[in-house]
Amino acid sequence: MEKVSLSDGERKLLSAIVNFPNKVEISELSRISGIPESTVNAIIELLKSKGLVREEVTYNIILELTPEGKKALEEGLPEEKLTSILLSQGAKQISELEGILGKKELQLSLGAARKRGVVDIVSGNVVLNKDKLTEISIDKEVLKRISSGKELTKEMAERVEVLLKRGLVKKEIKKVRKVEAEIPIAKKALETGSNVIVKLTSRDILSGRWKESILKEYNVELLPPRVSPGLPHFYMLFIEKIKEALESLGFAEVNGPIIESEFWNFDALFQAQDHPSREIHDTFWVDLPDQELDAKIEMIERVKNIHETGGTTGSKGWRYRWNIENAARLILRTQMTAVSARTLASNPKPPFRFFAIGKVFRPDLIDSRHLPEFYQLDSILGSEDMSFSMLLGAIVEFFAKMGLKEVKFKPAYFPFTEPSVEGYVKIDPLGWVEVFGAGMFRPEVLEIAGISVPVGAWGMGLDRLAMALLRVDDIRKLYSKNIEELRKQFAQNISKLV
Amino acid sequence: MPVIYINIQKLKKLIEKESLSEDDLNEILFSLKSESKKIDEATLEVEVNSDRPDLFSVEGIARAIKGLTRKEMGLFEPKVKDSGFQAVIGEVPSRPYIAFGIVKGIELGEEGLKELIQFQEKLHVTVGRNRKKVAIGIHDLRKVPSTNLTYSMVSLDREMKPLGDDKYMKIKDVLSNTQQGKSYGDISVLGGAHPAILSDGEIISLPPVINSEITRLEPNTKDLLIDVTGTEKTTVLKTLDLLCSVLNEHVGSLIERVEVIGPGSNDYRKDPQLGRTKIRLNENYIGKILGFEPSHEDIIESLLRMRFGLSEEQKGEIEVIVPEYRLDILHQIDLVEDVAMAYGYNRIPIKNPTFHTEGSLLNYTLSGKVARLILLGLGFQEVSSFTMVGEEAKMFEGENDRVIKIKNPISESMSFLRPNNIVSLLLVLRENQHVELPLKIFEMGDCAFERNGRVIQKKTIALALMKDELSFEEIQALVHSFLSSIGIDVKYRRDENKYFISGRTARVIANEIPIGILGEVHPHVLTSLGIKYPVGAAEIDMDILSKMIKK
Repeated sequence: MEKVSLSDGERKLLSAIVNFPNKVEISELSRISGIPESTVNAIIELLKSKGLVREEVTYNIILELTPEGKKALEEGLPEEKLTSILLSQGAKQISELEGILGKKELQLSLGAARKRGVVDIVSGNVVLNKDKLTEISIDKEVLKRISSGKELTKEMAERVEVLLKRGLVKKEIKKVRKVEAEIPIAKKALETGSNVIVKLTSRDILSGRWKESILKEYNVELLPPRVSPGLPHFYMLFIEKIKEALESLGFAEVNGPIIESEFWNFDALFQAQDHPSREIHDTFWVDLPDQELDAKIEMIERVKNIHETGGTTGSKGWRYRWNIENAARLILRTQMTAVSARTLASNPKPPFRFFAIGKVFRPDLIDSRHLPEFYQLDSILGSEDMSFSMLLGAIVEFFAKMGLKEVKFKPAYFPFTEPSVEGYVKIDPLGWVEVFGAGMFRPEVLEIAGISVPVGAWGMGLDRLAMALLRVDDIRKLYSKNIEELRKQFAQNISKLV
Repeated sequence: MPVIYINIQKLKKLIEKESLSEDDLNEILFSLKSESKKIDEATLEVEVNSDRPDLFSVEGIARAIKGLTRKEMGLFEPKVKDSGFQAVIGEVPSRPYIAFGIVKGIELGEEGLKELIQFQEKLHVTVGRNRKKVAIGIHDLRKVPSTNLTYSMVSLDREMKPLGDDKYMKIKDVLSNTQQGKSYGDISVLGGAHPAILSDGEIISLPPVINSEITRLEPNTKDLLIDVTGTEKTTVLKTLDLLCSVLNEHVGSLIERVEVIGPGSNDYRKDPQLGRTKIRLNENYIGKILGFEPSHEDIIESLLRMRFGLSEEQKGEIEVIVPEYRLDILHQIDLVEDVAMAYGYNRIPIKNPTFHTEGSLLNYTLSGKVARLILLGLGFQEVSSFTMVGEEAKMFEGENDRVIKIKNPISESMSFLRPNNIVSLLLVLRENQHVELPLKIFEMGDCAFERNGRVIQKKTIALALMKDELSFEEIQALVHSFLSSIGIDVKYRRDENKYFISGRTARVIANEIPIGILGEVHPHVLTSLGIKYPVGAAEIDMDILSKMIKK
């Protein structure tokens, strides 16, 4: 407890604050009292510590156009070029538009226009929705208003998020500090300078001075200041839960590199070198000097033979000339099956169960269902008596462990498995959700790896599964940079994660 | 997966079943690996698998459905005779292989013409690898100037009438001025010449780019001349087989062969060859792969319903005749799948694996759990970012370390691999400057960079602290507390790099091994990222950390 004694400065400032009916800004206070702002700050701290004033910090958001935004306002938005072509010439193939606008420009304008629903892609054709053209003019109006500092309507404010992401608008945050007096105490202090204890101290208790003082009453019904704990990332917890489920079912975890050779990602899995998924639209290549292929010579030989003629498997092979330079090129792995290929080639002793979980990469444009990188699970089981029936059994067992009792199978195609199957699980309230792919590794794949027992493989994109199970409606939320969003997701999903 | 649109009436006519319900149709297509939905009264959208190009057309789908519904089982027998057409093949180094075939008596109509072009386009994209490996030209046979055809390289100055144009144009102008020319003109052009198919001195096709207006298909076209060109002989011949065989599904249609001569003096064929292969299918093998043994009768019936032929059938082993249009059958395993599909995936018994194996998690996963537990206690929020980042990655290059660029990025902000996880944390902090401070975050994940020409790939854990005012010891204290809680003795050694402040950077050493780095992020990095508050950051190598925890 302290005797509330006020210095001249404190008294002067406190009187000024008490006279304000509302909260007052620090800068305003400095102007009125004629005390420099830095000194005002110091005195406010003292008054705060005595419990005589209360400070409130707010943040104001100020929107401004970026140089790109200014340019767009003057010269038009990139998607306007696209829509004017479509308007005058009708629907067009993506490839044609690429010819006219250039790839980068097209991607930019197509992305923007699709986001606003102004165009659709229908089997490779870009189609204009004329009735949505106003969307673009509204965006321009928003830019205009931001540029001239005019107020935005509520609808317009909701559109700003997209413009921010496009880099047309930037957000500045300005800190504003205001103070107000704790009226009864402050007045009393000004009048009498009597003893008020705000924060009870050890000294107050030991000295017994608390008996002669007023213990200030708090408004206990006010909300407290926020304190945020450290929280785990909800999606990382989900992945950990899957890993633990697999461990308990007898699967051993393995991993592999994210920068991978085409050899392990495709060739070792009997995917022909001219397979469409090995093209620029489906695979990322990295700019690195040539690296030596990290596979045994005998295995490289087997890959060549089996691709060209089927080797000794009885297969016809792909009947083309296999090229080692293509196999050695480095990519970002497109499938976790690359790790399974490495695991198989490491000569594991059957019976075995393995799984790998990691990031895979594909050049998909970002929207609410697609990302160019996401988590995938791949898992293999090998044993003398391993079969397609048992593979289905293993998958059913895994989903049961995850609390999903109903699984449905459909024939499917994957280049490295035969028979192949795709599967759906029933997830309330969504119904049947397609989640996994599976199959028995082809004899060509097994011979390449040097494995003599049948091997079943299954895998899935974990992002989609997490979205369905955790009810996340937009895949981007799994990788949100927004801490508030992460805290919210954690709170929403906690019951399903622990 | 390719998506095709087919006319429902036409399908019903081809399968000779007017009453097939939508549900039954979906069910059957589902068991052919396809998904379908009605988009209007007349049209069905079917998503087919790329391994079955014979299903890219309504005729092929009809043939498969007739088998599955037992309307027509076993091999389809093409109706074939000779045509009197003759093709002479020259040396065409850039696109050496060509095959010709004729199909007569097709009722096209507007719908049929659209579907035929769709079939051709889907084949171009899949089997044809965007026309590089194989391209198809389809002509109105009655408009072909003569029964003599030639295939050779012609000068780019020669003229033709490209499809969709009414006047003659030089080939070089076709390549540079037409849409098709721009898209496919560079595939087979070579030394001032281009492959062309001629009849009576007239260019009727410029493979793989465009056909001639002269032989344009019309809705009332009845007879087709088909050419298939490419760089791989088997695929060229099989693609022609597939087209002719599938189109022959039309009642009353007829395949006619073309004599193909050259380029070698002994080269002589009659196309289409409609070659079939035989594959021996062992019943024990079926049982072993599937994990149960369908009866001999079930196997036979399944094969016939999938439209295979049987040349020899004994108990235990069956010799299966694979029809000319099944390009996907490489090995008896492919027949096993077809047996399973006809048998029905939903009838396959589900068995729990009987063998025992021990489950385990990687050290990385285990130490990740430990690290998370402690960092949460220290008040850190976990984040998870993309491995691909933008140009900001370059600020973290070391003397010998180079960031790795992606050759075909989808956007500028995802055009490099992150060289460490600190860069990701800074990108997260940038977006959270409005959140109450101090803010502590961490991330575990992959990163990669190039050192002296070698790729280095790592899993690391990075931590960052952002607040109004910051001292070196604050971030150091957190790192120290984190590591000593795991039981690791840590020392610090002065270090320098581009992204931390000089004199406020230290290497983290445990048991004489450097396991990480910590420091105050340099203001030049902060300002260029648009971060207004001081940030302390650290990164620990998880592979080394895992081993230390294990001990």
